[in-house]
Amino acid sequence: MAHVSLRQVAKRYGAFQAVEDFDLDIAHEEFVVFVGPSGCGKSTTLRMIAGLEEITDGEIWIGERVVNDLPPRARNISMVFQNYALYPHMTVSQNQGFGLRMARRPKEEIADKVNRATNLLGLQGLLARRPAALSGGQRQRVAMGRAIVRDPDVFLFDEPLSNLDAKLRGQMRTEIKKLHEKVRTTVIYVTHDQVEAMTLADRIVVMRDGRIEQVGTPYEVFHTPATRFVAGFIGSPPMNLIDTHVVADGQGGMAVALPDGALLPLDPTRFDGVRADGEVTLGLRPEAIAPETMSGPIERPFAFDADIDLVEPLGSEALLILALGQAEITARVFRPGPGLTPQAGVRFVVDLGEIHLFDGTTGQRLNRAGTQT
Amino acid sequence: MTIVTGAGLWLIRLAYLAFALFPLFWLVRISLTPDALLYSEGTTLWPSEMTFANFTYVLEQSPFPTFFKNTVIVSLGTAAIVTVLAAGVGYAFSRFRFAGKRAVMIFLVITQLFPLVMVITPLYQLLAPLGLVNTRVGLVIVFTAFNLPFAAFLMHSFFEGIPRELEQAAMIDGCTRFQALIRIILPLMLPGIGATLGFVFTAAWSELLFSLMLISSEDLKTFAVGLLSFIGRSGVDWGQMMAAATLALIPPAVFFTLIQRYLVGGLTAGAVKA
Repeated sequence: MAHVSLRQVAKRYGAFQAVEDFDLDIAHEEFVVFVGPSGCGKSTTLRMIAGLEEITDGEIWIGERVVNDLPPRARNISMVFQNYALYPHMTVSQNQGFGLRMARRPKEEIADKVNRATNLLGLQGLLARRPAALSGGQRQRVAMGRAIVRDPDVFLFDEPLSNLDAKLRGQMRTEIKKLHEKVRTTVIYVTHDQVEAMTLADRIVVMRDGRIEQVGTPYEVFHTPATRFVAGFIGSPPMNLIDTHVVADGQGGMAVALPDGALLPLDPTRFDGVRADGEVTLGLRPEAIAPETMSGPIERPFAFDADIDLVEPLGSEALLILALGQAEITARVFRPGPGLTPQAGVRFVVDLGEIHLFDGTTGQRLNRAGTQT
Repeated sequence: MTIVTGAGLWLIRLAYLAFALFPLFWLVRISLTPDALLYSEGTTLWPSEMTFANFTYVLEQSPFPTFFKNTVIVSLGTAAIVTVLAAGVGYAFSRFRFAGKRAVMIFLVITQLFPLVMVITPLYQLLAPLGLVNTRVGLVIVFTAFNLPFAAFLMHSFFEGIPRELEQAAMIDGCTRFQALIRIILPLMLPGIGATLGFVFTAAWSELLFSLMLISSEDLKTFAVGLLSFIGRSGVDWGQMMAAATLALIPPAVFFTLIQRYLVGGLTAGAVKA
């Protein structure tokens, strides 16, 4: 059983705060992904868990031990590095067995475990090769094999797929997920790629400027982003974020102004802290916007007119770049027909149940808790 | 873009090789020429007669074998000590953050800016009371001091070429920092160690200035100083001097032949994606 807990963990370099107030409990066998833009502190946090960086403040628990002062070798973890970090002067088999040799395990046990990892990862026939004679995908697999062989309490992955080309990255992503199903070990995985985060994670930790923005399942961070930052970061193409303000609609209700001057009515029971004249950011997922003619049945529709400036067909779907007043917003439509071309004055609909609202100053979500979407 | 290709490239290579090797050729040619023909025959590419008399004389009747032995001791000693120390300095520069690191590195560069002649007198006065003048140990100490900064920078750049992740992976795999250094980094540093050894060995091997100033006993002289003894009152004994110089070329040549496969490098290929 190895759960991992971080309590008020911080890393500071002089006055610079790389990581601050990091609190997280990771359950046994859970697959947690740290995601965020470069420099957000995700790798630093992972390296603190590995023991490769000292922590300035707080406590890190692995299982029942505080590991703050334990060297990496005493933490019973494995790590897969972005650049693989295979030992170039050793064969694949020696690379994989290195950790067990360091632990002075019997030869038969080492051979047996290397064998199992080899079969699991499809590395048969490569055991006698040096890393230089392997392709990128094979090196990646060897690095994972080296990590598995040691039966660690926790797997740490530091952007393991960033050096692979797009196709291979997709394959390896699937393999990592399958591997986790088979091996069932606690995994902490760092990436800047939100697609990787969404597809792999049991829970996602979105980070920004050394702090946690949101912790949640892929479903939660996508459907109820806690902040404007998370809303913009998770999802591809990203959510349309429109800076605007709240106005009274003259009938006792509230509305937000769209860039073309139209008013989008707000259901006051669904939003906290919405005041007339308050600055807010309106968030609309591209897939929540559709031309009226292509839209399915919608519970609470709101219609508006916009110009289609550009159509980007992607086969099964298409992205529409719309001009709405001075703003540019993206809509994503499914099964686009050939008649979908740039044109002015098209009627679009959005589902009022699908709108997100964020405080203009703090960026915090204003949708009332419990009101899903 | 390729400016020169094929035959043209080979012509340039051959021309350069001829330019670089001609002095060596001339050295060997004179060493094999009988004294009688040296001045009488004029400048020809190869003498009409060949002799090994100069070599026999140098090896059997001159003190050259002693010079040779001294040079081997001093050069190997210096190369070994400098390489070990430079490895330590280079590793620290490359892997650790410490107060004053930049200052120390800059200071090391500054030491390389002074002409060596400047320090000969102070150095002599420093070594004399310690009884290190006219000793091989004194020579090794001086050579070590002068070669260490550059060697340290050389080692530093080789360490920089080895990804930190390799040590980190090793430390996660159960190594202490020291074990990671010995089991992972050291094997990968062989090209760097070879290059540093070779560089320091050659520098010490052909050093003249300090050897001349610090060594006075005939039986402690290095060959570079010893070569001067072929310049006699009645003239220069060119044939013998060239024979001695030819012999002196052999150890560095052997040394580099032995280490050249490490110098080629490429040993870290495949460790990480470039």
